[in-house]
Amino acid sequence: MALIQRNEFGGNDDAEWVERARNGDNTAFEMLYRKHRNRIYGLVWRLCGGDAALAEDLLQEAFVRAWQKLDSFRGESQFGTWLHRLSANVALSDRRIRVRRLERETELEGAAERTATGARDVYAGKRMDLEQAIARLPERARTVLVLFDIEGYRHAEIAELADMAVGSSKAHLHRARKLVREELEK
Amino acid sequence: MTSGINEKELLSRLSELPREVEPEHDVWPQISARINAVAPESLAPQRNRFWIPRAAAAAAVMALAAGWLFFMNDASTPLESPQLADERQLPGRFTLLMKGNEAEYQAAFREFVAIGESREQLEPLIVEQIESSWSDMLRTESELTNALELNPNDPFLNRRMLELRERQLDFLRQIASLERKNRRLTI
Repeated sequence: MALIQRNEFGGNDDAEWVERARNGDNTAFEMLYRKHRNRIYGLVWRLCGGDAALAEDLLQEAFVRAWQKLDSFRGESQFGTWLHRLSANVALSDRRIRVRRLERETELEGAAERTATGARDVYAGKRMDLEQAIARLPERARTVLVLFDIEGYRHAEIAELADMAVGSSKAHLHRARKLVREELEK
Repeated sequence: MTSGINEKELLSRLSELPREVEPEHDVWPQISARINAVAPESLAPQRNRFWIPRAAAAAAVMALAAGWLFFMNDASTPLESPQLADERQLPGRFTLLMKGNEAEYQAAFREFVAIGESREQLEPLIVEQIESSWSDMLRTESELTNALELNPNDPFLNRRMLELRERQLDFLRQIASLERKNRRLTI
């Protein structure tokens, strides 16, 4: 329903919308989408290096996946937390595929990581130095920095999501911060 | 390189970044089309007992959708393998792929209608399964058509529509094959 107003989302009524969506109510699911989409878009937009078109694809994919998996949401955490984690997983899975494909094609692992965000305009109206510096980070360094420093994930959670060791997550974070600082210095 | 910004300052700036970013486009129409295609069982429509009229309606919708897409897109776009083509070229490529399927689809559909007219010769359970499968595809097609009207150049929707048409064609071929087999056994 396109006519749903933002101010209807004032309270923490996710549980009710989730229950209705579980029973097949698309309108309830749209409520959840409209309430959470900017938060999820912010996550996937940064994770994919500021590629707006890819981020919209991922946003779409995340909500479709959420709809399919609603039955597995047991209410042990907030719906927003569950959705956020699921969306990160969707974005990281997609990027893993892209990186692997590029690695096969170019046989240049480093270059593959660096260029995996694609060739589209990655800033589209958001030309901010810090965002640009984050977007230019190598794939895994960016993943860790976005999840740890911006989204507040712990290293153990990042390690699980990004399929890496906890030590690697810490190393990537150190490298990412250093690279961002260098980028901002330029 | 020595940086002019220390780590504490960097962390402070990172923490000030907005977590919410508004997308340029509302992707709800695409999501809606997709979740309707995978709706829970409780949402599935009642099985339609009148499959011939629905099938005829579907043919009209498909013809309209195909015609609309054929005229909308640049048919001179070179045909490339789906894996290699740039996604932004997809609508044109989609058109050509649709055209490739169309004659075959129309022939299969005519046979499908003829089979429907002699449905009494088929097992009731098989008829029910055919109706159910066709009804599901019609529902998906209707949602995709609606979504494409809103977002005609959406690569994902175009891909889904092409895949659906291929599934429909494959389905019609299977029905024709089943009917021929059934006729041989009857004779």
